[in-house]
Amino acid sequence: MRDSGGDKSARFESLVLEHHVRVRAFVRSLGVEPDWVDDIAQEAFVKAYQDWDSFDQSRDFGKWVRGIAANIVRNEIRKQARRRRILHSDLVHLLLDRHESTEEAPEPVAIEAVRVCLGKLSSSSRAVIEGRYRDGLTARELAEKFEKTAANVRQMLVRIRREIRNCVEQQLTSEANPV
Amino acid sequence: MIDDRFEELLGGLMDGELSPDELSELVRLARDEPSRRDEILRQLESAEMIALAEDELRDASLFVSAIRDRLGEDAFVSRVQSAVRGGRRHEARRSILPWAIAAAALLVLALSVLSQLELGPGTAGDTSAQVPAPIARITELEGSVTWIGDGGQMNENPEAGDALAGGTLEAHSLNSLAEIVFTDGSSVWVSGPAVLTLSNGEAGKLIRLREGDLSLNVSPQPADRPLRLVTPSAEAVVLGTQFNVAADSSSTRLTVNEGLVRVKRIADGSVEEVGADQRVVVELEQETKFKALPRGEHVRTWKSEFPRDVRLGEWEPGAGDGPGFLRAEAHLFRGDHGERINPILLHSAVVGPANGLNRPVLLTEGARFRIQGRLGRSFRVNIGFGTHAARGGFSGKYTTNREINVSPEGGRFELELALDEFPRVRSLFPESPAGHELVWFWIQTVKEDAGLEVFSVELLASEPDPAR
Repeated sequence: MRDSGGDKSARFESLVLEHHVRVRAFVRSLGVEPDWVDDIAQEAFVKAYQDWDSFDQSRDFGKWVRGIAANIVRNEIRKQARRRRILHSDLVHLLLDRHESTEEAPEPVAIEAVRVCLGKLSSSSRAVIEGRYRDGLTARELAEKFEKTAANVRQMLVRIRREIRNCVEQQLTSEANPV
Repeated sequence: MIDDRFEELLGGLMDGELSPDELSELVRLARDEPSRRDEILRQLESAEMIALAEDELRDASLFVSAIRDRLGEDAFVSRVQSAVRGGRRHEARRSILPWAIAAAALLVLALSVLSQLELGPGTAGDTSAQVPAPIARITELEGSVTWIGDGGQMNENPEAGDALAGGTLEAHSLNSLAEIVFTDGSSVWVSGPAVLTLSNGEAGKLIRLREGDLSLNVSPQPADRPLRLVTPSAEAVVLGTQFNVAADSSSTRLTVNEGLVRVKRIADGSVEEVGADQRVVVELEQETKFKALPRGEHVRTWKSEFPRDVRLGEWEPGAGDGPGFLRAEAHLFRGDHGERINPILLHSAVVGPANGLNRPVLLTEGARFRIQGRLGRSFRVNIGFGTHAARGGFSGKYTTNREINVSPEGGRFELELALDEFPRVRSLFPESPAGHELVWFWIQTVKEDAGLEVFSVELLASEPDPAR
């Protein structure tokens, strides 16, 4: 049975709300420049909407949209000479290969889950994250502010990002397997 | 294995500070060891999640709204495509619109006949009196736009594909834009902020532009029913042409790319004909020269000159030998199309090279903007610009955000941004603005007044400007 226009729109919008964080994070994880992530993620959702009738609704919607996004990024590699929306074509190839070789279908992430994890950070880690992601400071600028070396700050950021990711995944696992 | 060198390179990648050699080294290391590749992937993913959690301008409702806008555009185009057998989307888009609208009109007519059959004689006249016939349709929409029909019905969420039967369109913010296509295929691009009223009566089409920028592509009109464009200072009579117009309460600047436009200065009734590749400035006062002048060759570099180039903001002349500056002006942003969020206060300064130059400013590959100004404190700013096709109509808007750091008590800043650091606002615009004309440039702060003042905006070309 096909959805009517209104049902389709409402259903699709709720799927976008459910999956947008994971899809945007996925697009970035393929090596897309931060400023272009939303452009490509939106393009993927628009394509998904247009192809909705061909989508088997028993399948994982998030995985399907990520596949569409991966194809858009793959096309970006060919277009790179004209305009650079990706960081480095060899790196993107590598990350796309990883995507193709994996069968995993991660659960959707709610942005609130990320905020909960950010709230668990120590005050010093929190200050570095706010400086980087809220105020847009570079490692060099953060180093000056916190009287550290830029290398220290970068290392700190790598570890905090790892901590946040682990925390988010743990939350998803505990939601999926409540005690 | 995640060793120190890999972690150092990874940190550099995430900070956008790796040299090409370092990037190649990182790729080599990742290729050798799958766990390193996975770590890059997880770091990028985590960075994006944190960025989404921290940046409220990227929240879910705005993201959904942007998709809805894109879908509106695409849904309309596919409806049009399905009506025209064998039409190729990109080439046919403009030319098929009149067909699609004619088809829609036939459909309305058919439904009207059906309703007469169903309702019986005597009711059809009442129905047509209640529902005015559409004169145009919205085909593109972005940002905060309101439509107020002639009967006073306000629609704060107009959508691409909506039929319009005469009324007023308000495009509220610098990001707002709309394309309206009349039933004969004549089209108008509206760039916000703008307010205009549309009608189509026995005397022909009438567009009253109170303020803002329009780019018009007018199909041939009957000689006795020309399209008329009225602004506070000028009245233009058009029989078929492509031209751009910018108006405010006291002046109108009109540039003709194709055809001929007859322009009347309202203040004294004098008339000037403006031909292809000419422009004219019409002021309310009569001292300013009112004469069509040819547009010169493109220039590739430009530096703002105040107050001539001010489009929005409060100009403060410098004291003594000190430089003057353009202070960002407060205005409200009331949410994107489809999403009425609480009003957000913006402070914007807008400059326009088209104000005073007779020569269009061409954006070229490798060009960059240099902005000099002052902030009362460190703050994140939104920067953007709008373009016209070379000697043509509206072609796009591009925008980005940057954190500007100054000392706690405020201070001067200088920012350089390359053209390719500005993503397009909509997917239908060219990815790169190179080859297009710069029409206006804005810089603004969101929600808070951070004391933004602009000393100058400069366009620098990667190669020397042959026209200089």
